[in-house]
Amino acid sequence: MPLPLSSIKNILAQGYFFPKMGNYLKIRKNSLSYLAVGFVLTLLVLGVFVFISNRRLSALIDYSDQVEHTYQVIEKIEMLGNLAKDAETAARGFVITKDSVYLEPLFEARRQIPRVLWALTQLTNDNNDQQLRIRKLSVTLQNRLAILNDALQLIQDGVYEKVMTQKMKTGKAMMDSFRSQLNEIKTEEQRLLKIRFAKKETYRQLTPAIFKQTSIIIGLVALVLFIFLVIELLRRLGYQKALQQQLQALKQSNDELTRLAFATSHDLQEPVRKMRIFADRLLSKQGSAQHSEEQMLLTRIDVSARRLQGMLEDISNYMNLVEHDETKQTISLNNVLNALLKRNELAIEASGAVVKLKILPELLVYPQQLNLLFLALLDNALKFSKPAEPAKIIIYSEQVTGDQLKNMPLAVLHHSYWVVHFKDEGIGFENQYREKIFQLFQKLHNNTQYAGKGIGLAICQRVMSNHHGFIIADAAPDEGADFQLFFPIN
Amino acid sequence: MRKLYILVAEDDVDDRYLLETAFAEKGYVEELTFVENGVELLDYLNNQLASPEGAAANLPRFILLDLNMPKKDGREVLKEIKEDIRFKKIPVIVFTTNKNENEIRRCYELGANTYIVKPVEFSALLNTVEDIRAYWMNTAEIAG
Repeated sequence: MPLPLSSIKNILAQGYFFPKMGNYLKIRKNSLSYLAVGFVLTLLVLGVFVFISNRRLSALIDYSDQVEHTYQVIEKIEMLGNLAKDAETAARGFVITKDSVYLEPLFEARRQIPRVLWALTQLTNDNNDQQLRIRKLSVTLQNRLAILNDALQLIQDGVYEKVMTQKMKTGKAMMDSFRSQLNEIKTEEQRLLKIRFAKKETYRQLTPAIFKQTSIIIGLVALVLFIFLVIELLRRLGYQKALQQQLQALKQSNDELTRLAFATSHDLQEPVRKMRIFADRLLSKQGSAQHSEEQMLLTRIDVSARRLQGMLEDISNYMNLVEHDETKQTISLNNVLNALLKRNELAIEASGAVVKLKILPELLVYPQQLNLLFLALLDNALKFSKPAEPAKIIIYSEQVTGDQLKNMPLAVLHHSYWVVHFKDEGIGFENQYREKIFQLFQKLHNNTQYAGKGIGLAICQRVMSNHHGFIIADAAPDEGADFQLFFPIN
Repeated sequence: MRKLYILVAEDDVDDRYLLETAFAEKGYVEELTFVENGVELLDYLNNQLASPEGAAANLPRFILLDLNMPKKDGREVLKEIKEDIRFKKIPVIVFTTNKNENEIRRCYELGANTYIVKPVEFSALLNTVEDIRAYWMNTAEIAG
């Protein structure tokens, strides 16, 4: 089904078909913020978890080591007690039997006791009280062993038994003192063991609980994030689907436009051409009856047909920009404009126009299309100069960032732009028409005031969209117009 | 001996009328022979060669060829004529409304001898008729 002309004009005037991306970009930014916060939160929880777990585990290991250490001290204390007992028993056996065989455990105890005492001293170097006790115990034990030695010597020397008995009594008292001191040390260690064991148990029970709780928290956060991700993914799939549908519609619309372009560029031009040629034939046949009404009517038909033909040609030229096969080249815009100004030297001179061309950038562009664009702007500036005042045109460039152009929806798509200003001091126009002027066949003046069919600026807009850029105009009545071409910088 | 003539391949009745009128106005109407599409054009040329009077003498002095025709369009038939050793020396003048540069280049690549855009004024058509007839009927020869 053929498209009505009004919708064709609208489609043509829109140039590129952009889906309404504003909401999508907003939603996408919010979702990404939530996700970023979620991930930061998870990382924080993980960090705290790792820190606490590390502390807990270190404490658990410390207390386990301390318990182990206390067990070692107790073991040494018991060993010391046993050695002292062995020595005592050996001495008694010898006293009774006078047989030196019984003395062997005593000698062994003498060898072992200093080592055990040294080990005990080392093991308790973190506890001053215990160290003092051990030193005291050591003295007692040495004294006891000395008395034992004396007693045994007396026996070997056959000394009177009364002296012997006295030594035995002193030895017993010392042994009792030794036992008491040993018990004191042992009791202290057992007290410490109890405390340390209790702490170890506390940490042993707490650590898995913390692991469990933290895992639950991380699991919950991960679940929330996963749900967010799924929602975001579904939303994006929805947008993707909508985008695909729009792309499909766009493709269909483009195909129709292409067919339409062929129809306008050839098929529709045929009948118009014939109208013109037959009207011309009739006019030439009317040659003798000049200024007749018929001739006037025929001339009007011819003028209208000529205008229609021109418009059809414009559409055809415009569509050539849509379906172009030109390749991009890196070229200085100064070169493009200098060549253009040279080619139009006569027209510029005839109008008395002054063109100032500043330094412009070198860009990757479609040279022929840019030529069309600048030609349209030049034509525009010459056409809309002030009456009896030659056109003054200045062309210059500047670089801007996308952030500086936040009020232009399309500008945010790129980080930065080269902006080429094509500024004239002509009749200008009301700024309210700044968008309308770029639409195909839109004109602010009628045919009798200014010639033209309203295609030039539409071509400019199309050329800029082919370069993924855009064009805007800033103007005021009687103050001229500033056409700004935005070329994205990649 | 048969008179020199121009073979016009044109499907559009108005354009045939206009050409006929223009040639008549210039006094050359008897020189025109019309076919309406590419198939008819090739049939015509083959028939001319097969006719009892003889071969090459029966062929047209040149062909005025429209591009957009039914059955077999101008591009196809141009290619076939220029690839056929019997017909390739016949000058072919593409006579169309199409101004597209790519189309013009393509036609020359296929072997067109001239490419003329149909005029939009009758006076211009008269001039075109005069020019192409003067050049291709009397002056130019295609190199063998």
